[in-house]
Amino acid sequence: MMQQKWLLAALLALAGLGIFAIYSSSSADFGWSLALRQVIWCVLGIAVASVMMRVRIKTLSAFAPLLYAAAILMLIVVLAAGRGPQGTRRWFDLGLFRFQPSEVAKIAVILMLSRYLSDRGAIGDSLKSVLGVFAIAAIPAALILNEPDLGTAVVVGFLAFPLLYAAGLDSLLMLLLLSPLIALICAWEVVAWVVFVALLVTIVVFGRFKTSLIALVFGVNFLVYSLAPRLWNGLAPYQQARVLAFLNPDNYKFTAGFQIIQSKIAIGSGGFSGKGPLEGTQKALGLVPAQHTDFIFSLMGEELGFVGGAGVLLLLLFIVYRIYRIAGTVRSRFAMYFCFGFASLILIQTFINVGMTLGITPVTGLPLPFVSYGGSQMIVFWGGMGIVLGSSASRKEY
Amino acid sequence: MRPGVGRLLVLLVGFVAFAVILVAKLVSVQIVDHDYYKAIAVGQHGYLRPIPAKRGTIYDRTGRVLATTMPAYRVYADPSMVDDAALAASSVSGIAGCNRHKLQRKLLNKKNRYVLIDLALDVERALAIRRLGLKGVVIEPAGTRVRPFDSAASGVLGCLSAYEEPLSGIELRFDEMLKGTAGVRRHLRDARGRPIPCVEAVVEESVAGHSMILTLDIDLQLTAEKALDEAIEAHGAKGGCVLVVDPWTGDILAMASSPRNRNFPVRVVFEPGSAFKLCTYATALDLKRVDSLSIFDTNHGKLKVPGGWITDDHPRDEALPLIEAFAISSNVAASMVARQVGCEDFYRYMLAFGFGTKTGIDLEGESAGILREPASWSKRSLETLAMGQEIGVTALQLTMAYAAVANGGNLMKPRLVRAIIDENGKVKKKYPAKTVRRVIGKETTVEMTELLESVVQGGTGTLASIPGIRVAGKTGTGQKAARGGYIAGKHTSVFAGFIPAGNPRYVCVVIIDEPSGACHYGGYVCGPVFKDVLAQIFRDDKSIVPSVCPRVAHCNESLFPPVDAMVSSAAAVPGPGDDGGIQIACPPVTGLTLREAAEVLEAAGFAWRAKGSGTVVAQDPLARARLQGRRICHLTLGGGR
Repeated sequence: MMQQKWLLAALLALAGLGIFAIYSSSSADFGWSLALRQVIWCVLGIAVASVMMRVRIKTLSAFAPLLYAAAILMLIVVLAAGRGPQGTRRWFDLGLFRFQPSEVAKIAVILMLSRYLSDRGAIGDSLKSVLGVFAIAAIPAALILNEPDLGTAVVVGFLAFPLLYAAGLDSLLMLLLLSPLIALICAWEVVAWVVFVALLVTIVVFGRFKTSLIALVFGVNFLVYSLAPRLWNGLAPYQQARVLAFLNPDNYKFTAGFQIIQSKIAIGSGGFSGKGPLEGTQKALGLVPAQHTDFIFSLMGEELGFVGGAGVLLLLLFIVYRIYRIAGTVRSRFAMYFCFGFASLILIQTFINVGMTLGITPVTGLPLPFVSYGGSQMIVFWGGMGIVLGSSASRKEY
Repeated sequence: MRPGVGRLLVLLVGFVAFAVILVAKLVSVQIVDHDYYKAIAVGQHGYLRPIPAKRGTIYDRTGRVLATTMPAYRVYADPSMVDDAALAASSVSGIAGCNRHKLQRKLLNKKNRYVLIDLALDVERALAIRRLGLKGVVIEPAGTRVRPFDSAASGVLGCLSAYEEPLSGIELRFDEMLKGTAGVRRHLRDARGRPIPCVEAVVEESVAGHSMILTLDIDLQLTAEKALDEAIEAHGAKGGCVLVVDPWTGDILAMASSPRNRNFPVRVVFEPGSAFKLCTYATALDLKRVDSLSIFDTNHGKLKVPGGWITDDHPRDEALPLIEAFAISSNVAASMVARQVGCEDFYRYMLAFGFGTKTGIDLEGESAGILREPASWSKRSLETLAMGQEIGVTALQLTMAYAAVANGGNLMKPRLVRAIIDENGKVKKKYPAKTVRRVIGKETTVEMTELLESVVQGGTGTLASIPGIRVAGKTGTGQKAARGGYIAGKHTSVFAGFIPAGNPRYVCVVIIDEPSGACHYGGYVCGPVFKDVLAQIFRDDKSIVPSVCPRVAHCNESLFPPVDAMVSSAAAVPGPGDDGGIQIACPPVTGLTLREAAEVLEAAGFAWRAKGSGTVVAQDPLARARLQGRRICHLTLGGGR
């Protein structure tokens, strides 16, 4: 525990910055209430973390399938009973706060994958193990996609890749597995598609894969290619608009691109040293929507400038780095997989969240870990940190 | 089984790539493109409206306001935002005093976004409109330029457009100083770009413009304009100007122009005619080619020059001494004087006097006049130039040349602006008097003054004489030229001179353009204007010591002591003697009190007798009548004081 004082300091600093940013963005409308709530979530999160720290890794490993099943159940229930704005079903309204099962699902998926992979040896190019991993990630992802919450679904589904990689999956096979995602992007342009197929063939030639795998990969890719327009049509209009706005924000500057452009203006106008705490003008005019939750980074960029923005980024990256380090030192394979998956979760979510405020990733409803306002994400991420710290403390036990 | 080293390396690369992408983008947005985004952000905070700065005041030399900006409000409407055009039109027109039906029609045209209701409404009425609380009717501070003396000196001051933009004159030339710096008021917008009512912030206070102190004296200006207007009307002239200048500083004290806005004195180029002989004689005297004892045989007023003759308007049979040749404005004598000088020297002096170059006065559109180089002169140019032809001058050039003679030989730069002061009266910039160059020697100016005085005393300029003061002046009548020659019957009448001759204080030049009467001589047309203006100055400016032409004072005429004087004169009575046969014009004294009349008459060398009481209503002999020998003036007094 004490070995991780810098990690802890970084976490507390991040949480503090988050509380400040929430106060700054919400004080005009809500006074202290949102900031105080975030303080409470933070305290609760730390409490959960200190509990999780004391839970033995073996116990966690044993309970992982149960937790996973509970998460799936909650996701099903929220789809059936959840009520949100505009027909979305993302959370339970518990009166005092709104509970978001998809946040819990993130941790549950990592735990389940860790359990699944730690039960097996090196997976090498075992197609069965790969499919198992994908299945564990895909079930909750599909449920979350139906809420609908594309961002979280993608993140949850994507968790399969870092864990497969950590489990020693062949690098070229990894690329093949990722290829359908790339296919989805290349499917829209004939030239890009030709290049993509050529690369795919090259990988297949160099790696000696089983014929069945090759057939499967090519089959999936061409299926993606032929289904791409249908997938596109399957997206909700707001999702389509977000993607289009992401690709060309200026054409949608008063509609879907508004958030992206306003966020960039807020961050860009902050400059090197920012406009000063509580001095954000774009914030004051309410130009950036969701600035205490998903777009909190734009407020930090505006008021604290490059110094503050880069500081937040470095804190997050430092945390990720430290967790990867822990992953490299723990003896328990389960703990190793968990740390690896959890660090990857923070990294992906940071990248997508900060990226969207800067216009380099599409707008999704993903919070910035440890910073954005929200009880579910605070408790889940602090809880995850508790497991990481617990495994780092227990590494000497074995 | 744990990840191998290669695997961790790949992981590290991916991790660093993520970090680099984000930080690089952050650098690009926040540091590289900071200004771009900042500009957009500022634009979003609202629309910025200027807070008009108070335009500086223009004062005359005595501190009286010539032009100032009074608070006023611009009222306009955005028809697309007006709910009830009929109501708005009736209530606004009632206050602003505009046509209700016209306004209503304009307000009903919803496509229009800007309907001006009033450019400069006073504060009370603007507030009354604001109190109506009409949607779509905008009141914003604007200010309105006020000229307490109306059109006086309007050419010098210049005009402003309805939107207070300077178009000419001092207002344009010194716009940078006068206009100040507009402030900025920010009206905030909400996220959809709609203005948020009542949320205004002053981003930057406006800075009032500097004020200016001109060299003009508004009293003098008004006098000059009145005299000019009367003369132009009396002579049915096309235009003209009166310039009054302080010879020692080059200060423009009055610059009357007709038409008012044209700045005749700096723009219009004319042939000065005989008034230019000042330059001819001064050159010759300064180069000592002639002196006061020179005598000119004018050959009955005819002189052969290549291609024709030069003739005199007032031919004399006898040989003329220099002073008389000048006084009667003999063209033949002037040509002979010029021949003594020669082309190159004459040209050099003309340049030195400032002809052919702009004076550099702070007014736009100044003309340099026309002065050709000797190389392009014809064989008779020297003689023609000597009498003020073949040359184009502006009234200002001519004035400054006379000022140079008046002040002892220095050509001054005309000064229109004395100083620029800030809001609190602190001097920001001074414009000191500038000497352009020394033109002629002091002795020359003394001699020239004597010549100029003789013109008024007994030459062509007697109508310009002012009782009680020594007047130096010269008449001139220029012919108007067009392509291919002179236009018959079109003249420019000129009178130029200064007072008092011994110690000049005021230089005055009067130009009347195309007088239509039978007589177009400068002495006849312009002399009285000159006299009117300077007599007024003489009356107003108590610091001018009355003086008498030494040539008159020296003549030991016999004076009769007053016989039945109602007021005994305390003035010293000159002793009896021979007056040497010099004719002296009786000064006009009507309208004066007996004491004033007595002073004037005695100063002019007249004795007087008076009957009645009050002011002088009649005099015998009449003013300007020439008396020789025993000079006595009978005064009739009457009327109340």
